[in-house]
Amino acid sequence: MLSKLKITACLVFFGITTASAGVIVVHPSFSVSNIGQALRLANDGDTLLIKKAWYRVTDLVINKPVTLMGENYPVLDGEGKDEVLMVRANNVTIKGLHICNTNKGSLKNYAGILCDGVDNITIEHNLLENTLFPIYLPNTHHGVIRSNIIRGKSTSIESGSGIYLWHAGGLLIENNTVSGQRDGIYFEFSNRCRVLGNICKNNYRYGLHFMFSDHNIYENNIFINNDAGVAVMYSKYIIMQGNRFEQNWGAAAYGLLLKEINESFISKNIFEKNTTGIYMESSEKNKFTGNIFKENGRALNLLSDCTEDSFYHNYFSGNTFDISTNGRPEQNVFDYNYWDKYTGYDLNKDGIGDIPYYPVSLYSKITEDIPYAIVLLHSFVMNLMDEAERTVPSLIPISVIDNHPLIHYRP
Amino acid sequence: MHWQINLIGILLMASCSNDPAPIRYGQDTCDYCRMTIMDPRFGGEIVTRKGRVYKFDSEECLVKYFKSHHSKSGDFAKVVVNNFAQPGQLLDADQAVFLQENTIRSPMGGNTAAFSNKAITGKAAAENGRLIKWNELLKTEQ
Repeated sequence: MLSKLKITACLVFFGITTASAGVIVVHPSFSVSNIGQALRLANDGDTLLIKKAWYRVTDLVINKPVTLMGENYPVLDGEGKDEVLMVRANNVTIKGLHICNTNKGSLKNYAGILCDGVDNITIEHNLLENTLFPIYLPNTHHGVIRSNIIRGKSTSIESGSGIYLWHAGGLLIENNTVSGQRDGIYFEFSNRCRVLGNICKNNYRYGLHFMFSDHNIYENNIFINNDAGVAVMYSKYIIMQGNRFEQNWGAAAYGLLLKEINESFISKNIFEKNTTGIYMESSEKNKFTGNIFKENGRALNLLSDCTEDSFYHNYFSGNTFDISTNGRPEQNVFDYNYWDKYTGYDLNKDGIGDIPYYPVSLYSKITEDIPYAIVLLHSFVMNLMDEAERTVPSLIPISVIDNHPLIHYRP
Repeated sequence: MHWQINLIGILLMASCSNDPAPIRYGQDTCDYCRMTIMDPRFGGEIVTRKGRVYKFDSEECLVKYFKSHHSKSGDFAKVVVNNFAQPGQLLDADQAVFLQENTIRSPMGGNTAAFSNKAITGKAAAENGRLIKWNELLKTEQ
C-alpha cells in the first residue's frame, strides 16, 4: 500500500515537472528563428533545443533559469563584435554548442560564456573556438564545467585564460581540453574547487595557474608542452595528485612552479622531460610523496628560503640534476627516496642503502653560480669532483641529505 | 688610432646606458614573482645605474621589488611602467598616474594600472577608482 502511494506520488511529481518544463525548438527556418526570441518566450525551467545551423549571437543575456541545448553543435558566432553568451541567472545549463569569435581587444575580458555572480551553472560538451576568454566565471559559485573543448587561435599577447575563475568557488572542472590560450585554467581568489582529468596543452603560459586560491584539489590532469608548465602561487592547502607534467622546455619553463605555497600535498605525480620538474620558492610545510621525476634537466630546484618541506618515497631517475639550490635550505626532510645516481651499497640487504645520499651535486652548485659551466657536463673533471665531494662533503649543502636511500623502487 | 679610441669610448658608453630594454612578452619572467610576462598593459622595469634591467609583470611586483630593495634604491636610475591605454608604451613612473579600480584585472590581483595622464583614465576613475602618483603608490599596502 505504502509503495503504491510512493509510486503515485512520484508519477504526480514527474507529471508536474514535465508539464511545466517545456521545450522550445529553435531553427532559422522555424517560427522561433533565433535564440533571443526563444529566450523571450521561455518560462523558468524550459529547454531551448537549438537545431544545427549558424546563428549570429552577440551579448545575448540569459536572464532566466533555462537549458540551452544544442543539437549537433549549432554555431553561435560572435563575429568579433563583443561577448557571446552572458549568464545572469542561477540554474542555467549550456550544452552542446559551438561558440566562436568574440572581440579580441584589450578593453575588457571578452568572454565566450560569461557567468557573472550566479549559482548552480552547468556548462558541458561545448566547443569554444577563437574566443578571448572562453569560459569566464567571476563571482560564480557551485556548478560543473565538464567535457568542453577549448581551442584558442590567436597569438600569445591577444589570448586570455581558457577557464577563468575570479572570486569563484565550489566548482567542479572536469575532463575539459584546453589549448592555445594564455593559461589553460586560471584561478584567482577562488576556493574549494576540484579540477579533475583535464588536458591542458600548447598554452602560451601555464596549463593551470592558481593565484591567492586556497583549499583546491587538482587530480589526474595532463599538462603537456605549455610554455611554462603549471604555476601554483600564493595559496594554501592545495592537493595535487596523479597529474602528469610533461615537455615543458625553456629557460623560464617548469613542470610545476611553487611560489609561497604552504601546507599542500603533492603526491603520485609524474614529472617527465621538463627543463625543471619543480621549482620551489618561499614555500613551507608541503609534503611530497610517491612522485616520479624522470629525464628532467633539474628534477627539483629548491630555493634556500623553503623550510619544513618533506620528501618521502619519491623516484628520481635520468635527471641531469636531482636537486639544485641557490644556498643552504634548512629543515627540509628527504627520506626513503630512490635515486638512480646512488652508488652506495646495501650489505644487510634490507633494501636501504647503508650510507646516506647527498642529492645536490657539486657540479649543480657550480652551474647555479656560473651558468656557463654547463658546457662541462659529463666531463671527466666534473665527475671526479662530484665523487670527491660526495665522499667528503665540504661545499654542498649537507642539510639536503637522504639517510635512507632506497635500492629498489616499488610505486 | 684616434678613431679606434673613439669607437671604444662609444662602445663603453653604449654598454652603460640606462635605457629600458624592450620586454619580450611570453619569454621574459618577472624578477619578483617569476611568472612569465604576458600582458603589455601592465608591469614595467627598473633600470640600475650600471644598466642592469629588472622586468616585472605588474605594478604590484614592481612596487614590492622596489620596496624590498629600498637600501639600493640609490642605484636605480630609472623606473618605467607600461601605459594601460597604449599597451607596450613605457612611461616614466614619476610622470605616470596610477588608477586603482576593481574592474582592472592586473596580473597580481592588485587592480592597478598606469596611464600617461588623468584625462585618459576615463570613466572608470570617475566612478569608483582611485588615482594616485608613483610616490603615493609606493606607500600603499600592496
